[in-house]
Amino acid sequence: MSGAWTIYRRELAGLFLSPLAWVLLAIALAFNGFFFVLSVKGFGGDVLASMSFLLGGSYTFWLLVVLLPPLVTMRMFSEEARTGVLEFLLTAPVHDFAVVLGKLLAATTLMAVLWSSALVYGAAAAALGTAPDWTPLLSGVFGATLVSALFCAIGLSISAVTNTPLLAAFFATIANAAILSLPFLDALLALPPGSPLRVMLGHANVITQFQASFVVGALDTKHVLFFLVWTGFFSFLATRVLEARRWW
Amino acid sequence: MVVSPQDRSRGGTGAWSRWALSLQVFGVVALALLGAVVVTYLATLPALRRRFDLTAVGRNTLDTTLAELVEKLPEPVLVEVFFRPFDYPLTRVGAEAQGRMSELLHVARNQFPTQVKVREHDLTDVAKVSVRMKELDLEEDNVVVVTCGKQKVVLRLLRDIARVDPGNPLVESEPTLEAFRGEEALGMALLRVSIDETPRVLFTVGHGERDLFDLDKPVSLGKLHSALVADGLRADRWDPSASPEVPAETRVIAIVDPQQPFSASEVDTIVRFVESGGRLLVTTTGNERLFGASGSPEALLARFGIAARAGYVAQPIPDGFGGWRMGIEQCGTIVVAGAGLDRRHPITESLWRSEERVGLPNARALAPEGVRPQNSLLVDLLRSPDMSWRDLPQSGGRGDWRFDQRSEEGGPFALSMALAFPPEGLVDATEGERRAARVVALGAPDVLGNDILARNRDYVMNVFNWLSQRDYRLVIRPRETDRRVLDLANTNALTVLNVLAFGVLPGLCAVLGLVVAMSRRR
Amino acid sequence: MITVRDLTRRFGPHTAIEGLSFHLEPGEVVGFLGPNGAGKSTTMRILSGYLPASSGSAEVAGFDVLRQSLEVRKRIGYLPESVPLYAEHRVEEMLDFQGRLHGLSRSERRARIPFVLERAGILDRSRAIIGGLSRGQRQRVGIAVALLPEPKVLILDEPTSGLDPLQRLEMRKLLVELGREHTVLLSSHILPEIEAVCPRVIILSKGRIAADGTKDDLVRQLGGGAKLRLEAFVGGDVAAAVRLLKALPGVRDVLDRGRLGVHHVFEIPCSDDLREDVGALANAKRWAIRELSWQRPTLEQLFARIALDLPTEQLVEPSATEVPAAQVEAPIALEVSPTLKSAAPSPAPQAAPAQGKIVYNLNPFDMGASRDLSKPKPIDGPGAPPEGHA
Repeated sequence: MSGAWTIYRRELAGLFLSPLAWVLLAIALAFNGFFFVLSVKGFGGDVLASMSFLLGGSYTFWLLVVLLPPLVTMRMFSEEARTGVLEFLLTAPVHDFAVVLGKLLAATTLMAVLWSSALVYGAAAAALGTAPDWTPLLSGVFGATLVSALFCAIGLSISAVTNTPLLAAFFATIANAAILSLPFLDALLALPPGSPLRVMLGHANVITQFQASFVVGALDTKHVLFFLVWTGFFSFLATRVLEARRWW
Repeated sequence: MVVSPQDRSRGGTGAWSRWALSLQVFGVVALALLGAVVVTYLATLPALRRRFDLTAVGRNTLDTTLAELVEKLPEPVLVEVFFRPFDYPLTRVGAEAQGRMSELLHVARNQFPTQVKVREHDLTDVAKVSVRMKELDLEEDNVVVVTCGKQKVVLRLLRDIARVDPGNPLVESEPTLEAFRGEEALGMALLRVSIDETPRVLFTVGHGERDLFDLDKPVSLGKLHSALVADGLRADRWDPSASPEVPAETRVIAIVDPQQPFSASEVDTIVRFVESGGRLLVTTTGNERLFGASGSPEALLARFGIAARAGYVAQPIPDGFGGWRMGIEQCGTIVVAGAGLDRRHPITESLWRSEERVGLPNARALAPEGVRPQNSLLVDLLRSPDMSWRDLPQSGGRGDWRFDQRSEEGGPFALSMALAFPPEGLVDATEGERRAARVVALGAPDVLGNDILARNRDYVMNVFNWLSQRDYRLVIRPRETDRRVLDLANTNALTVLNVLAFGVLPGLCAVLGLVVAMSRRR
Repeated sequence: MITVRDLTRRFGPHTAIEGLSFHLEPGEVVGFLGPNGAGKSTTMRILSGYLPASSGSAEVAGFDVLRQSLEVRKRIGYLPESVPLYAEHRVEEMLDFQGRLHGLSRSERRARIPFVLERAGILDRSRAIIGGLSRGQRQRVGIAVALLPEPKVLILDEPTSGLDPLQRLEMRKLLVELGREHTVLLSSHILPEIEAVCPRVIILSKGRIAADGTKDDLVRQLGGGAKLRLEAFVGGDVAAAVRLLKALPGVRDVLDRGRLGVHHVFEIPCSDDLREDVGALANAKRWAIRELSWQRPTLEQLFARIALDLPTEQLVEPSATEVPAAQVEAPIALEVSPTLKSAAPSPAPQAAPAQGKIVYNLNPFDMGASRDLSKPKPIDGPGAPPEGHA
């Protein structure tokens, strides 16, 4: 695991030494901020409502979650495969999974930085005399980070498939949107109530899973596990894809 | 775990081993997928699931009383939600009430995933929903139906769950949510469905009473019967002349509009039943010849110190020009609302609170008279308005619906009364409340008829629930809503947030990015 | 140190290498030579654990590259052809990353990084951003990265490609130095480079080993088309002269190449140097000799033949600067035999400090052809270039 930590540090440095991360952050922060201020106005100054709006209660949040992780992760494998650095990493004495994990953590960290802006807003509100409810706010940031981790893992698996970063971002965005719209499938297929597929689709409802706990300020092992497990699954997938690059 | 390509491919051709390997990897990934599904599933199991409420006000936790109720449920309850957007001007307030109820149910479901199942019906899917609504015997939407086993309680959004202040359209003040009592309503419903008993209500027959099963005639009781059954009561007929003893396990005896007199022994049986802690609903008779005679329901009521007066109570009808009209038949229907409802009695308290009206056609006036049982409590449930009068029959036998100050008495009159007293030989006062004898007198049997039951349903059901000892009263504190509001008008909060959102944070990123770019040039 | 048995790697229908088997003793310096696409990089990637083999096995330092991949990876310094480095990092950061990957402690890293940078001759650029370095500098950084964890085996894929002649010279010097401390497997498609650095060469052609051994061995294995050239005035009876020549022991055939002025030109294919015998014969017969020379095909010629996929009989006319003009038609079949490993040279001996620098000089211009290749040749100054061919 020290290998994963090393790669995490390297990836983090790589991310923040490149202008892309800063540009993404600046744009995302401005975007997020715009809707936050808008929601503060819309809710008549209700801090709590605005905070949950910012962290998962709104479509803007999901827009960012769908769009941003692919942009962050698109280069992580495809670019390295092109420049050959991947060969260096894959011949270094670390497990492939450590490589994936390090990169996943780095990408997730960037997203966490973005979501942490909510804490800044919270602090600002506190300074203005209306302190937010801190624990749910923290759990919201945590949850947003978990969701981002899931989508980063998806982005990584796709980045591992292709050598073209833009293609990776494109397909990852489509995959993310597809996963978010899974629940609509049951209406589309007109599944009978109680059919196993429908039940499964119900469990695969990312937005509901998220809003049922993190947005309302509850920490539910079910939902935390849901995101952890599927992040793990896609990391595993990315590892396998990475491995497949060796023999395909 | 490293997939070893060597083992598979030794001796195979390149292309073949590649596909074999791909298959193997697909297998592994499929296995991982299965594993993820299984863990996801396991995580949903209540035994393996923990939920922590992090909010300061416990937004994600049910009130302890409510939580206890849910925990004590004998079997899981199904809560079905039939919400549809309201029309203007209730759109906003309706949505708010729906939202809060949904959230409450959501909290309940998350806190007790095994005990509470919530199904939100999509009212846009008309065909499917109407089938289900018919099954549940629902006549309106925007209700929440709590089902547990055979028991079912219907909560109506804008009456049982939330109370709306209609606002004033003239000054363009929109309706607002005056009170949200979802917790309480849900608690009552849970309590009701969780008590697994079906009290028996017997309607007497053999004296020309209203037909309990007929659904077609306007005055029959068919709808009442199905309403009682739906509410968890067992309603049946009892012919005292055929079986003189009151059947065992009878909770309530109802005598609705008999046309023939009861025999003395029948009356005695019924009185004994009540005095030993039984419950009785008696309506006055519509048969003028029987009225007040021996063996009549009025004579029965007199045994409990309640007298029925001759004639029908009438009230003037507003003519739409600021005046009042009399002399028309509509005067014979008394509308009781507001102050006419007793605000403390369990039967009428909720009606009064939700500003409901009870309409009583052909109502007789009731009054306390004579000797009442010891320690009894007599309450006027429904009172006619001050402007009402007791319209006495003219020579033709019917009233003229005009107030004759000389011969006729002015209101208000009690139209329905509730009497409670401790049964004979009971000393323990605490036991007394639970086993008290209860009698409800109703001056207007038509209230129970098919035709207008729907209008007075709440009142009627409350009567039966009180009589059958199901008048649970819960006090549940409404869930706190944590509102922390920035004063946007008087502070520069928006400016600060704007600067933060558009200036400081993205600016910081830009500056840091520049610094990094510059420092990494060489 | 490296043992490869029957290694085969296919990419779909394409076979990159097939049936490769060779063995490297600890301390040996071996060059992989072959035209582009011969399978050099594939072999090295398999050895480094990047690619799995389709069949066969490879062991590095006693560990199977597939099953004990991590153990192998800990023990090798692998520099891929593309010299993969993070362009946005500084040289020292890259090395620090490599050190962490190999689990070096902070103090180890602090000690090793300047050392390997010094070894690679890039210490002065340690603060530079890698993206701004020249190709040669990056190559050096790549070598420093590979060297950092003190690997037992260095696998360098085309370490000199893309370098200008001067850089190439320096790189060659560095490789020679490295050869003294590590087992080195390096690849190149440029012969002089390999010749300059590696006592032992493995020539790959179309995924198979075409030859394996010292240069002499290779010449013998590959072509063996040595010949004696005699230009002499032999009087009128040319046929008699031919007969006489043929009668010499060791002579299998004599080819009459016709007259060149008054002199007659004979070519005598022979594997041994028969100049003295022929000279004695000429002396006895009073032939006036204008030229008597013994010529062997150079490795370069043989390699070119392999590279161009020409039949054994046909040798490429080497460029005039490299080899004197020679028309050789050696009717000797190309013999691929990996069994010649017994003839492989002993591992490169460690240089005694007093001896100064040692290089393996295989320059065909020099005395390479006549010198025992298994023995290093001492040269005096530490800074002296190993040879003048560049």
